[in-house]
Amino acid sequence: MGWLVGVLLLPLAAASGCGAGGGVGPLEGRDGLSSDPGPEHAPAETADDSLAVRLSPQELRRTLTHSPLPPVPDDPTNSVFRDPRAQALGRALFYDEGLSVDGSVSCATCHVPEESWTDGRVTGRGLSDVTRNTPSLWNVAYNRWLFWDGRSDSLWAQALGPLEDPREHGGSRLQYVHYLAGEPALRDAYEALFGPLPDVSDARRFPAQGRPVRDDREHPHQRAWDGMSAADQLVVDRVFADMGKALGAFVGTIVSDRAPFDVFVEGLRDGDAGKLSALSPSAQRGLQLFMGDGNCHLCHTGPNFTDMEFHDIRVPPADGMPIDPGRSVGILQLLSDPFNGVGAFSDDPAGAGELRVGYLKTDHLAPGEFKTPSLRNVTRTAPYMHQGQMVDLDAVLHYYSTLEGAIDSRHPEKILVPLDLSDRQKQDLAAFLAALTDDDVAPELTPPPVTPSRSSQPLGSR
Amino acid sequence: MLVLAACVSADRGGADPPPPEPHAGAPTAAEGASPGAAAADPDTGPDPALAASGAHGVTRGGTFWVEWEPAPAPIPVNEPFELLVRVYADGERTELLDDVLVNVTGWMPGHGHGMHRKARVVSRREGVHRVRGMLFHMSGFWELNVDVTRQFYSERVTFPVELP
Repeated sequence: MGWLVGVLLLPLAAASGCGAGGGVGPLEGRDGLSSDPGPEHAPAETADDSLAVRLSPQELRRTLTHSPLPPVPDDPTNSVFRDPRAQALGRALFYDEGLSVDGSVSCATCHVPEESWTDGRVTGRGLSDVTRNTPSLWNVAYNRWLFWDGRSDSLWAQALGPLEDPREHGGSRLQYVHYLAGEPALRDAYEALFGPLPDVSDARRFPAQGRPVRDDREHPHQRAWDGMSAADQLVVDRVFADMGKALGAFVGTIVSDRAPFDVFVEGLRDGDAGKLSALSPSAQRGLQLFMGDGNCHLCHTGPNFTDMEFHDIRVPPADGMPIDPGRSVGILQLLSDPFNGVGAFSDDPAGAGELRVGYLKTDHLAPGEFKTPSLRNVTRTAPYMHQGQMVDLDAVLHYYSTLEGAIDSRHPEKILVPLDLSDRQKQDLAAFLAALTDDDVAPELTPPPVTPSRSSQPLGSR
Repeated sequence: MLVLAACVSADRGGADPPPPEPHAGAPTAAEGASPGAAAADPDTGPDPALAASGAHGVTRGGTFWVEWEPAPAPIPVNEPFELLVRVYADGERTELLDDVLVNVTGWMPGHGHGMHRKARVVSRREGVHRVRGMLFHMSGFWELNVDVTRQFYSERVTFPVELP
């Protein structure tokens, strides 16, 4: 192992006043998102000529648990998640602008690979404006919940939402199934994965458009949907879910590689001074603040720098926008979603699905809680917060330093207090956050050489 | 460290149900709490790090003795875990009770919130309660509350758990 070779071990001393106190036990393996250097290598304080800071045992242990990113976890609710054929089909669907009513919107319209899989906008825009900032897709396969409000519990279920949102792709599940049936290349790819595509050619049983429409029983899509038999609705839902599973399989491959921070952690483990130099002295000071007094690690925890859960940090709504209910509504949407992990279309409803949604607490819900975003590639994903309220990282650090403009909240995080950061501390934190960057897009994540249906008719003209 | 052993939820914030009240005449929480209740070693007091691997203690009314062990052990940060809970009628933990119900919740007093999940007992065989749905999503100090109910009477014991 020898991961502390070259790092001078000092006697255990008082920690530098960081975070939650408590006994310093041996390093413990935690889960698939942890790095476990082994209990026999419990670190003491570190000091080395290569290091600009002296990390306390707690800070060092926390640092080690933030790198490297482990292999992408499986999704048992999606049996084709790791199937290269599903990833290839998902890639084709992801970049297919035909999957929108006017042929102008694909998933990549908002999740632009060259823009760190987001769009640089304050709030997203498909066919029209939406009310939330577009989350980056980097490393989303590690997430427990999807969307800012966690209203989906899998990548495949998440992918279905924008397809039917009138502000995004604007289609309906019946249109997508007909589209798939009418595109030979897509149809072949589908059938190779999921078996024969059901015959949906009978327009009396399978209208051209139709979907369930929340809170609008008179919507033409809803009325068309109501006119179908339950068995035919199930056929359409099944194919629609399969499309989501292919999209989820592709999106699950959007994983970042080693960032300078990861190289630095390798240096901590193997004592390689060259690797330790991957973080500038300023970034190392930022690291110490992040893992120590700043308490940033409490929510931005683990190798993907998120606890994957929901918190209210009292961010004021964007100008002219109402307070977003966030998780308090998202959790109810999740539980009523037929495409959730325990639903009829999940491939593991009694196992992984049940563990995800079977124990959620729905009492004492309050507006204002949103999912902790990952910080990997964070310097590439401005603006920030759920409504894009903060234009850049300077604004974010200013907020955490002062809580200026923070709104009252029913369930605020009690640990959220103004950090009163100095200019240098802000610079150090910014330098550390910049060291979490690896946004090289692998060729297999870019648009496929030939998008099977690119020249075909969009949904709306069929 | 004894403070941890007799830990009482001082700030509950409303997200978890309040602890049940002991019946009239029962010992107070302080009287009922064993100094080593949540510790592995009564001589050195409770060790928060050890508490993450399981502990035992007496309810505040002094009626029930509770022991629990997590799986996996110690409790992982931000990963689901299960608990096996046993309730005894005596401090020596020789008389296992098989006619009680248990409910387990988690709370972070320093943060003002608890778990985002509602754990429940998924099986109860020969006095061993298997609790599923636990997930402590943050590192730091947690209170693991076990409410024990027998017929119409409940008492709570709170265990300190420190996750690194």
